[in-house]
Amino acid sequence: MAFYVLQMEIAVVMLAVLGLLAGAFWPRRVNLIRRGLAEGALFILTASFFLVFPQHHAMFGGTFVLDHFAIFFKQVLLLTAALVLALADAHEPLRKQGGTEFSALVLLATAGMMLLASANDFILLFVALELITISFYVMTSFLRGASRALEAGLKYLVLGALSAGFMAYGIAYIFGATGSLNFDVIHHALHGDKIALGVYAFGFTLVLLGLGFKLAMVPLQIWAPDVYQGAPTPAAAFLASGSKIAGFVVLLRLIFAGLMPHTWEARPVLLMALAAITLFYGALGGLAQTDIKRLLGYSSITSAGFLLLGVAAGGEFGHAAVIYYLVQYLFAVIAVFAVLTVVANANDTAERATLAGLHRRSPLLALALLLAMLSLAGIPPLGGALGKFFLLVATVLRARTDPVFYALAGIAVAGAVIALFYYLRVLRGAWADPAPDAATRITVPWTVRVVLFICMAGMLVLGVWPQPLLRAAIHCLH
Amino acid sequence: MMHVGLIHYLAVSGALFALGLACIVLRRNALLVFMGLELNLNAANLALVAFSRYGGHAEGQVLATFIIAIAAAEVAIGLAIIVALFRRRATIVTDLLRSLKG
Repeated sequence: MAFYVLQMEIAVVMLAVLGLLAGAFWPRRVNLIRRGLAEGALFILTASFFLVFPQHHAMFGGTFVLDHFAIFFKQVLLLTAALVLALADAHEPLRKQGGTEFSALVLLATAGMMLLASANDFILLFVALELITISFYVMTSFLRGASRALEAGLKYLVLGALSAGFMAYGIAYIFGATGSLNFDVIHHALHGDKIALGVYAFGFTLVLLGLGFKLAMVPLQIWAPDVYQGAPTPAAAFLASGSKIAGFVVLLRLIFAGLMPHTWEARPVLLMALAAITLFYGALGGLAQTDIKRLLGYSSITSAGFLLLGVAAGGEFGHAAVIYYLVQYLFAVIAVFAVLTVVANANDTAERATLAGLHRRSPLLALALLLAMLSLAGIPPLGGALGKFFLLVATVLRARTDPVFYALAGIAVAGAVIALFYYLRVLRGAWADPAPDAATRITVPWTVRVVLFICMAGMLVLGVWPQPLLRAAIHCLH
Repeated sequence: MMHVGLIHYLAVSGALFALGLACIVLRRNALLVFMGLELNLNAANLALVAFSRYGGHAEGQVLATFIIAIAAAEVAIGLAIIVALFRRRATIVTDLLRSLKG
């Protein structure tokens, strides 16, 4: 059996298990082991560039595919995991709690995301999705001494299990309509004339809603602000980056496999409506927020709206734009959470006031926050600007054949302008407000410094030199 | 004697799903909300097994088995979170859990 196609996932799971065992046997060395896990993830990422992957289309009875798309996202997810692991090592409340379990859980969730990128079958899709979600239940409520974290955990759990129920029920109806759970077979069955398209579309809609929980898409977005606010900062960082990326990877995979009901292809009304509502919900909801982690929850919803816009617009360029946005978004959002990891150490909250005078207390943190917020707001020359630009171009391209997309593009621009306001307000707190008298200089741990440099480099490079990533994105669509 | 067919199983499964949803939306006790979530997953299982039996494809039963295992894992973690929350707050009434808001 060709188990070597699973070598990256196996390596990640082994790393997690080793981390757990090492933490149990050498409890005094936990800090060293935690850092070792971050370096291990980075090592697997580096090694993956030198591995030769077999180019079969589907393996393990057609449940597992290893194409350029899957490999590209496995590497992106490994990078995300390495950055989050470095943050987990620097996060004071997690250090106090001790142990290596949090880092091991990050790795297990990463393994789930990597499997998800290769899923070509609803069984693997569901199991991998639940591997991620269940790891996140524990990560969000990991600081079990803090009732905020437990409350966030419960909210994530209820909505997560609800979305799993939607997903499973939807899969059941897809199975009922087509008689299979394999993407290729379902695609084939959809072209036959024997299937009940209405039943299939019902099932697919439920699966889409279930996925919407991972994407933070309306109507399953309500958990995002609460959970981002209450969860430990590294867990929130991973939710905003890895979990969202994994969700969109599945959505794109379902579309590539040709599983979207044909009736949607002329004009995917549901996707378009959800994109517009999600965008506006995030943009308007963020306006009244004073807690920055909560604000990022709304920012994450707005981004989901933007990404859905690209998915709805479709076409090769639309999908490439989604991939571009996902990669640049990961750098921006992890940079913000890295800043918060250091600033909000004591009780893990991040009111806007805690950032006051940041440029005097730590110029590096203030600079990283500046770049990340401008990138999220979409101001050139940063990655976020090009990410939004490509998505808008894809929408306008589609609008040439279907004018309704012009309205969608207009909504997207309006949403971006509203969101700009709250991003800039955070910056005013960090750069213009005077520091409180008692405030001292902040020392930034070197792990966080490395994370910040990687993220800032990523944002700047993707903002001025888009060709390599865009070419890679288009390449992995073939 | 009435013949029991696919449609009857689907009706029961749909009723279970609706009851589960109602339980999640209406109940204020975290344990009962949790029960509703399990009901949803079992509604999906029933539909899967029924489709599998009447369609003649075994994959549905395989997925149902996986869902049972996943639901068990979810219960283990969910109850742990609820117990930890009860220890901190001495309540599991969802209306009272409002410390996170903006």
